[in-house]
Amino acid sequence: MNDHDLEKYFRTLEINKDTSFTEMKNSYILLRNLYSKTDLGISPLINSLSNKRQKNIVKEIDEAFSMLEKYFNDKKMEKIKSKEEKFAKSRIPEYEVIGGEALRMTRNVLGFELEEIAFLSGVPLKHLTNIELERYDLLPPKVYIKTFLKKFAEQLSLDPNKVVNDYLKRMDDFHSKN
Amino acid sequence: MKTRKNEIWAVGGGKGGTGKSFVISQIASYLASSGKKVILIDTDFGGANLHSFFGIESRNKTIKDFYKYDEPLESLISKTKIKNLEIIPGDINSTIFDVIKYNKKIRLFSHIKKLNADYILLDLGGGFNKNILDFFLLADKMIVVTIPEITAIENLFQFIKSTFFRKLNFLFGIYGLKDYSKNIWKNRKDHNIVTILDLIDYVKKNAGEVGDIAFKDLSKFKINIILNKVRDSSEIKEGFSLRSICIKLIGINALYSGYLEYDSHFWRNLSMTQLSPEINISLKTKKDIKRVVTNIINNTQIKTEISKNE
Repeated sequence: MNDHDLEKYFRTLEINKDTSFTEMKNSYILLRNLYSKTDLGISPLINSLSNKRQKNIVKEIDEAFSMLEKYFNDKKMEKIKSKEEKFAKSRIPEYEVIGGEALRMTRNVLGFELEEIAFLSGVPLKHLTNIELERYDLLPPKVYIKTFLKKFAEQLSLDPNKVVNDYLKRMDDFHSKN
Repeated sequence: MKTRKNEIWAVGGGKGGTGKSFVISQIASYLASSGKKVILIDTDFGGANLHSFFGIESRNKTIKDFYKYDEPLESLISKTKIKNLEIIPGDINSTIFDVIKYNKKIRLFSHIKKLNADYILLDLGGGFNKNILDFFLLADKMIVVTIPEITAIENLFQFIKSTFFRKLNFLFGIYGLKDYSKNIWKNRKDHNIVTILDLIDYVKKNAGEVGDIAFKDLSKFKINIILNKVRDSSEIKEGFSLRSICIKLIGINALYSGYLEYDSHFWRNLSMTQLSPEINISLKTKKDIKRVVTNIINNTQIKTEISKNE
């Protein structure tokens, strides 16, 4: 939907861009009733409309409403998403170095079960569990770990590269110590 | 002297008995009470009644004296009981205004423009002769008052259409198409035109570039609708219908500034004694008026409200 069309739809429903969804809907109902003559109002002139013109107006009103409904829904979804992200970010504890614990904490704050992450990311549950618990010796070869970590990080809206780098560094440190 | 805003609001609307004078006197009182200097001019030539709302008895000097005896406009101003509110009463039985030339109207208008006030309100009276239409078109804010009754609304549309065509003719005249729409209307049978809407469509399609310019100019033209003596929510809704018809069918921008609920208390009191309007109106009406005025000043309108069962 380009700006020009959008403007046209707003104009058809006789509202401006700052109008709320409810008002938009109210305006639509009013106009729909008025021009489809279901509302026996007292306004003359409507009766002098030709059938064709009247139908056209109703059609335009309907089209404008369905398009604007979509526009408002999209806008709402965007808002919810950005709000959620902001909310999540504001509560996720900041970790300088991301290890298993940081991953688990972030996941909990976001309200994900590990099973959900497994489902969404396609990473087998047991590997996710081992990643979180830092059971390094039970983990598969590094190439796999890298992919798993990336997918895990994506689900948690974390920076995948940072997660991979931090995690592998901690793992290497652990190995070199033991 | 402090320079004042000097904005002219004209209130018309066709049929008499819609409560124009009541509404305008309330608007004036409200503006005055919020500290603005207001001058109310009753241009109802021949059927003036605005003075009744302010209990002004002696109407020695009226707007007629400006024309007949060249009295300066300032000398016609009467004070009212309300602070900041002054009035130039209209004439009850003059017919002189039927023959006012356009340039004389312009002269009166330029004098009105020079009055020292924040708001100058013109009560145009009923009907839609050329005097009324021209005053309406010259104002900064064009306001119509009507009531939710079919006859009043028919009259209102006649008024709006007349205004529209006067303006359209005027614009076409500027661009060298004088009497263009008039002639089309005269030969409407040849053009397959039955209603005024057909005519508008025809002009839009056939007047070419001039039509485009004229209609663009017309889109700046905005009418503020006030619905008076409203009794229920379905009547409140009529205001939106009126607005939509102006926009969609006539092609004039309009805003529904608000409505006033029927105030039987006021009318009863007015018929018994003629008191200052400030004392008599209900709190509800005061709120209604406040909303109307705020909307007119800000170029906004009331919000659509729909009952749940629709």
